[in-house]
Amino acid sequence: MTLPVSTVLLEPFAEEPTVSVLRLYGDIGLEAITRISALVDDLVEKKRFHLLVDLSQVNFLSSPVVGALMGCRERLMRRSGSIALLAPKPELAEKLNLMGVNLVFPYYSNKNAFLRHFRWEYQSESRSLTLEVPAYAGYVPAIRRLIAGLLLSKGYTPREAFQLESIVDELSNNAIEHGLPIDKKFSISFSFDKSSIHLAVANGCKTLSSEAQELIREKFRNPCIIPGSMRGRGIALVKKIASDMTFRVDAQRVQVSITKMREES
Amino acid sequence: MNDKQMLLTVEFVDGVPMARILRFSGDLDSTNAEHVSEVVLSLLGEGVLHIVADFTKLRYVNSTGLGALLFANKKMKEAGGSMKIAGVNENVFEIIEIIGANTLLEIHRTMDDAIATLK
Repeated sequence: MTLPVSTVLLEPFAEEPTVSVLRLYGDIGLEAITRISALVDDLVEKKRFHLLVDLSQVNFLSSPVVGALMGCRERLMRRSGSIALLAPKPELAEKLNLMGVNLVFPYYSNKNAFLRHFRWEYQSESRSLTLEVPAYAGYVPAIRRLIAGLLLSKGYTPREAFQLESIVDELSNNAIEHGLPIDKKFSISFSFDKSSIHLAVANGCKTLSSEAQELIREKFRNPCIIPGSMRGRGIALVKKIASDMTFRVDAQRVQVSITKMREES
Repeated sequence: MNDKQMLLTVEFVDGVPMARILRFSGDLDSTNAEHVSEVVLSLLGEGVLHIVADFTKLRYVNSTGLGALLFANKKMKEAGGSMKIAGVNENVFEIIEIIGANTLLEIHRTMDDAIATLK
């Protein structure tokens, strides 16, 4: 298909039905503004509030068109929508950056990068990680830092990442030191989305008597910090940092799970 | 092995022969807490009575690490000396507070503040 020098098309986004793609081709000047605005009006009327502007085939984008896109952004965001730019050529990206456009519109180099962000941001998609770890304290620092790093990479604050690092550390050390892991390993299940974090640390153990199970439950139920004592503060710390802590103690398995809600930004 | 192993160095304090500065850096956790206790016991054996722990470069501490600090604090006090901590970052201080160790440990804002109490 041969397209005119300047073309503006609106298409559905096959991979994500809630997103529309505004595909621009060639040199986009003043004359495109009316069409872009009309297409966005139509989207708003149809209650489709997420727009990806594909710039991969654009050679030139005039400043008034950038202004028009800013207006579109305003209208979509007022309705809890979004607008993002896809794959501008390096020369165009440089020009847009000089205009400060990168401070207003997120850019994505490809569709997959956009989809990952979109689904995280607007569809509460979660990330998850499951690990089986040798029951040895030396493995814990790398794991807790990995989990903190994942949180930081998705916009959680350094304080939140630090607190999760503490929780991973304390629950892992608890499993190693007190869980008597029979197979010399324990498991960590970690998942998080935009609003909350879930973590479960579990270990198999030698068969526990009913009394032994109840003692462990009591430790989780009422962890106490004994003044002057050097140890035994880990579970109390976790309980204070986490939004919620639950536990399950069976004859041959102990699992502690926590939820931590994201702080209001 | 803790790849960002905590480094602990011991330095003299000008004009206070019975005191030492312990400079921490990195993470104080279950992999190295025992080493802290050993260093403190060794210093006590050498007749050191006062320790100033410099946390300026300490990024992280867990409950076992704090246990080691409480142990050190107790041992210094039993010997008639003291242990002071300075330069604690916000995240570490929050953990110290949650555990309630701030009421047991002598915490100063800066190293200068802590060292001044020895003179």
